[in-house]
Order: sequence, then structure tokens, then C-alpha cells
Amino acid sequence: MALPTRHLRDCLGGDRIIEVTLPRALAAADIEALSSDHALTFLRDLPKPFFRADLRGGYSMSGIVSERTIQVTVRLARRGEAEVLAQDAARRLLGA
Amino acid sequence: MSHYLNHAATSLPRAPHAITAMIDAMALGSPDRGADANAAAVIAEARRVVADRVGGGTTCFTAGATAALNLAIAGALTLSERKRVAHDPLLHNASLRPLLAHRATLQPLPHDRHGRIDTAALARDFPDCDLLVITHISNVTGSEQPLDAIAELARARGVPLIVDASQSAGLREAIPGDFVAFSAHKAFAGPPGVGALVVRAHAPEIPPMLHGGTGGESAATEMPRELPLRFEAGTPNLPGIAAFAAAASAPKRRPVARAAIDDLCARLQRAGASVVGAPDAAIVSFTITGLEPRDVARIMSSSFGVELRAGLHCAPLAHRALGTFPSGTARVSWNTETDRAALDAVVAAVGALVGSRPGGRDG
Repeated sequence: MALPTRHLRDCLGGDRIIEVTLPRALAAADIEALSSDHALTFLRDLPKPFFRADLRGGYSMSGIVSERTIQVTVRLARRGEAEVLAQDAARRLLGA
Repeated sequence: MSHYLNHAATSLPRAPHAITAMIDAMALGSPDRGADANAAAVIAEARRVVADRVGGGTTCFTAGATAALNLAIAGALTLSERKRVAHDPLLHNASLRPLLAHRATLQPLPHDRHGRIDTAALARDFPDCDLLVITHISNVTGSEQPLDAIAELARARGVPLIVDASQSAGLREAIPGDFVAFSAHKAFAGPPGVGALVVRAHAPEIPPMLHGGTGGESAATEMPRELPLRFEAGTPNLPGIAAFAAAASAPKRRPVARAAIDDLCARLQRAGASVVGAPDAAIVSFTITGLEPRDVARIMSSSFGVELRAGLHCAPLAHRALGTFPSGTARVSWNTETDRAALDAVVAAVGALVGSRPGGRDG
């Protein structure tokens, strides 16, 4: 079943940003379990740890530990697939 | 506690007397050319107050700076077949998009690496152009163009000058130019959705963008020639205009002192950020190596309670000129009412962010 999404407006050069609401709050373990083939930035020492994972194929996801939403950024070339890619990113994150 | 540092987008909190004026104006009747004398008086006084804040002229009310720039640009481009427009390299889309929509041929003026126009080079080699469009203070870098010198050169060559004064109106006085465009919701802390095009007596006559009723000369098939009626078809936004005037007639807000701007830049650099450009106003863009500006803004908000803006700030040309395209920058913008603690929080947050990157402070 598709997770709820909403399109965010941002002042960027054509990327599409979609916020996905997860069924539960994000845990550090979710991020640590991400496949090693993602280019991962995990700033775990921040008061609210932040991560960004660049996924192959022109999109990325980012989020904050303990929050229930992530943001999926889809590059201009794949804007038309943004919804599908956003769902895919959330599935990867939650290991579903 | 949240620290709001996005005043270049919208100044908050709004001026309380502007809110009161807006509510009071809702009780007035139609300002349409004398139908309610009180309403007409409010608008007449608003024109005077608003024009005075930028050095005088005829105030034509618009739906904001973007509408004012569209009006001036579309009109001025009808004055020449060639449509050759020289401009500063830090244009906002409010100027760039109407220029492109009207098929202007664009020519950036000579500038330094921060985007500031080189007036000596301009004086030596003034471009063969039909119009100048200048952003007085950049909404990306806070750098101020040497507008007096540019205006003098333009005037000597008979080239009309349109000034985007969105970030300077309310903070700078006597802003030169034939057409000066700005909005109510930035330095004035007035309402959104209302702005002005102040037209100077020496400006060339340009056609209106909107056509319609003006409350007079109704038998005429064309818009009247005189300002401000020429540019104000339809019923004016009386509550917005009243609030704009109330905000603009408040005691003038001092610009942030140069020393305070330089101090924040130096502290951000020491904390590990790279300041982009050379700010003259309280608008400071920065980047942090290894982090996307939008991530910086998100982390600032979630971990440190600092609200700032990230991205291209609707000024892609500026980022191309500054080398920060396409990711843009994170931007801090403040005013003299901003608590020192808010700026301290930004510096501390940058330090913490830099230290938390992969590789820490050397990352």
C-alpha cells in the first residue's frame, strides 16, 4: 500500500521534492541498515541525527531520526517518476 | 525556541500598526475616485508616504515587487525594437523572467567576482543597450550595487533605468532610477501582496500592463495617460495599501551596521562555513563543504531551532555568477530587531554541523 506523500516547493533548480510519511518514526537502526551501495551521509552526533542517502538513478532521500517523514529528491531527468521513486525510497529505508 | 532569520523573504513580525491600519481600512467604502472621501484620502496619503521612503516620485500601487517589475519591464521594452537590456549579474527571477518572456537580449554588465558592477569599466565602455535593469541589493549575497554611479551613467546616455529595490526600500533613502520597484513585506514589515512602482518625473512614458476601469474618463477607449491612474486599472487593494502606508510611515528602521555584518561573516568563516559574496546588507549566504545547502537549512531547523532559507533564492543567474549553481546556498537574513542570540545560534550551529560531518572539521 502506498505511503502518504506530498510535494514540497523548494527554491532549487528543477528537482522535485516529495515528503513521504512513514508508518513509524525513523530509527538510527533503519539508516544503519541501509545497503552499503548507497552513498550515505549520517550525522549521528547532531541533537537530532540527520541522514542523506544518494540512491543510484538520480534520486536521494534524507530525514531526521525520530521523525515520521523523509524527503525524497528526484532529479530533473526523472521528475515524471517522482511518486514511484519516493515509494521505492521509503521501502528501502524500512526494509520492506 | 526558534530563531527566525529569513527576513529577506518576509520580515516578521509584521508591524503592529500595519495590522491595525489594514483592519481599519476594511471598514471604509470604495476608494474609487472619490466614492468614499476617507478611503480616497488614505490612498492619497499612502502614495506620498511610500514615495517619500525611496526619494520621491509617483507611487503606482501593484500586487508586489514582481508585479511592479513586470509592469516596468514590459512597458520599457516597448520603447525599442531591439530590446537590448544590460543588467547586473545577480538578477532575481522577478526581473529575469519578464525580460526573457518579452524576448529581451540580455547583456550582463562588467562586475567583480562578487557580482558587484565595475563602474569604472562601465564608464569606459557603456553597453549599447536600450534599458538597464539593476538589483539594488542582492537577495542572495546582500551586496549593494553602486546605484548612484550607475544611474548617472545611464542618465547621461539616455538609457532608462529600472531598479529592483526589494531588499533596499525601507533601508536606503533616495534610491535613484526611472522606475523603482519594491514590496511592502520586506524591510517595511508590511503586508504581503502589495507593492509599488515609483515612477520618476524624468522616466519615459510607457504603456500600462493592465487595462480596465479607473473610475473616471469612462467614455475613453484607452487608459488615461496620467499617473498613477495609467497603471492602476481596477479597484485598488485598499486594506493592503493602508497597511503598507502605515508600515512605511513608522519610525525608520536603521539598517544593520556594517560592523555587525562583517562580524557575522567572520564568525561564520571561523566556524567552518564559506561565505558567498561580499555582503553590504544583512543578508549572508554561505555553504558548508560536503553538505547540501537545503540539508544545512533542515538541520539548522530541526537540531538548532534556526529558521533560514536555502536553495537558489529565485536567482539562478546569481548562483551561476557566484559558482553556487545548482545547489545554491544557505542564507541568513536579519534586521536590527533580531536578537544577538539568534546570530550566536547560527554560528554555534554551523560549528556543530561542521564538526559532525564525516571527517569532522577537516571534512
